[in-house]
Amino acid sequence: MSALRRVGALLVLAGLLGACGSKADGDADAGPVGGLIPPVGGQAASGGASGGDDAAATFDRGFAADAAARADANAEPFVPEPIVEAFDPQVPAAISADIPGAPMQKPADCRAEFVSVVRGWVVASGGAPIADAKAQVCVHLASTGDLLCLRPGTSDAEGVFTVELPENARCITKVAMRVLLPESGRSTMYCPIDITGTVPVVRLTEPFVLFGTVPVVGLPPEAPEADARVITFDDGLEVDFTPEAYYSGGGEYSQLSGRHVPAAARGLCFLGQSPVPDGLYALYPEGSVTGSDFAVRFPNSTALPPGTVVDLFVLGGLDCRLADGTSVPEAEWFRYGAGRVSADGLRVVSDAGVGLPCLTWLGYRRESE
Amino acid sequence: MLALVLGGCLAYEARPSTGAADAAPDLAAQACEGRSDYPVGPYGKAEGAVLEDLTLKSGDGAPFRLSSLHQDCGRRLLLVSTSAGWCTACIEEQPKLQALHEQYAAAGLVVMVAFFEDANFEPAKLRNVQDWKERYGLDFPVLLDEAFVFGDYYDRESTPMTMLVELETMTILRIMNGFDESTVRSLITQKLE
Repeated sequence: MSALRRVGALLVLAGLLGACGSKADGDADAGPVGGLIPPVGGQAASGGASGGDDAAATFDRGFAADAAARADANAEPFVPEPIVEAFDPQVPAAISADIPGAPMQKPADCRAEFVSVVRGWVVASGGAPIADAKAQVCVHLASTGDLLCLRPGTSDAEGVFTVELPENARCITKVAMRVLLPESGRSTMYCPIDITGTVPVVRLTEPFVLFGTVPVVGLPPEAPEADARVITFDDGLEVDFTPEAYYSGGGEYSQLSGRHVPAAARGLCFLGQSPVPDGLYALYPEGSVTGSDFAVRFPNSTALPPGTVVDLFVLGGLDCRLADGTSVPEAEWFRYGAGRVSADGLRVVSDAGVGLPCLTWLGYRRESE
Repeated sequence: MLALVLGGCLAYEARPSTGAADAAPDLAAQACEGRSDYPVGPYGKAEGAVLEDLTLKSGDGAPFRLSSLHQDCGRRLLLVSTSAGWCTACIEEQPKLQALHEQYAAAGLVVMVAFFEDANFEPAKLRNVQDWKERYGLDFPVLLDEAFVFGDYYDRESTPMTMLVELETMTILRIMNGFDESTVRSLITQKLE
């Protein structure tokens, strides 16, 4: 695996460089870097957007370019778009528009919830719409309890997507959504969808927010993959990381990125009614971790007293399992272990044997009393 | 006799060549009367039809034809599961497939995953197949279905699909969206015990 992965990484890198070169050479409308990543909102790409749009588009172009320079330990950290906690985007009209042909009648033999269409929208953390995002639904069938995953809908220039559920997947008990912009550096978002008592067409007025992440600066070489190393993400979050224990079907070690996200930021749908975390981080690319060796250390940014015990949380994603095999359900903000504030009060450190089960979203909170 | 021997050799050569872990069940290939030629059509895509001799790729990029399974008399039943890197349901299913392989391979079951897209919804590459097999510790063939040929056999809007095929006749016995383990086990038991 490792040799092929390295070749693959080189090809990806070559592709990035090639894409940047060809864009810059041949497209007069392209930004300064060119666009491997689809532009965020049509206006942003043409330079006539609002500040939020500009920031999002700049992020998407910049992250792609930054991937090529990531191995340079002296590179300046890439600064993504700002996180606007209280942005108030206008809900696109398409969310409430008619959906011709959508089945509206619940069959008599469906004794669970009946959903035929899910329509929603995707924005960046500043509120700008994101085009070409993938919005995917997994459902639990009422008939057998089986889990089925559906092909994604793709967001348009307004960020609006539509997922039509096939006939065999409409009578259901539970829905989770996975929303991502591939190869973008934006952390994948998972949200539980409340379908209780819904009409067949689910219209999500609250947007899915995709947060940009900051590439790790000074990322150690991937080889030797069996060697543990400390990776420092945005804001000083440290993870003891062993490349061979990390598996990402949608990204590379060289793209590792993260970002501290204020818990008051809009769009943290997975938190639901959970208590507000003391620290919260978005990670990229999404991946699973084998074993329990990925210890974490957070900066104690809320000044918890030394010795304070905290709960550690992770967001369930594609393949998120604890060391004992317990699966963390998609879109669930899951307590995976405990940690405590170090004696010097500077860090929150995971307890011995408590390992991060996957790279999605990560957080901690003072233990509930 | 020569034809039988050659048939057996061909069956072996057509097996995945990425090492023992990628080989089908540990049964000696058994060429036999009537199993050297793949059934002639007409072929179909529904239950009861004869499955076409589809070609996928093994983990090292070598072609893998369904006829290589048909030609081996030691194999009686094929379970095909479609998988993709974006499919949580598929991920949850892999340990169950491995368990079925361990339990029924000696009785003639061949479990096979046809992997068609990566986690970003792009057509899968050989590397994805290798990673998938390694990640989930699978001892049965995981094949690259880059053209998503099995997508023509079910509602491709929802994954996974589980298909059972009788290897002697290459008849499609069952196509299911999802993986209903109890139903699958029941069908396997009926056919193999």
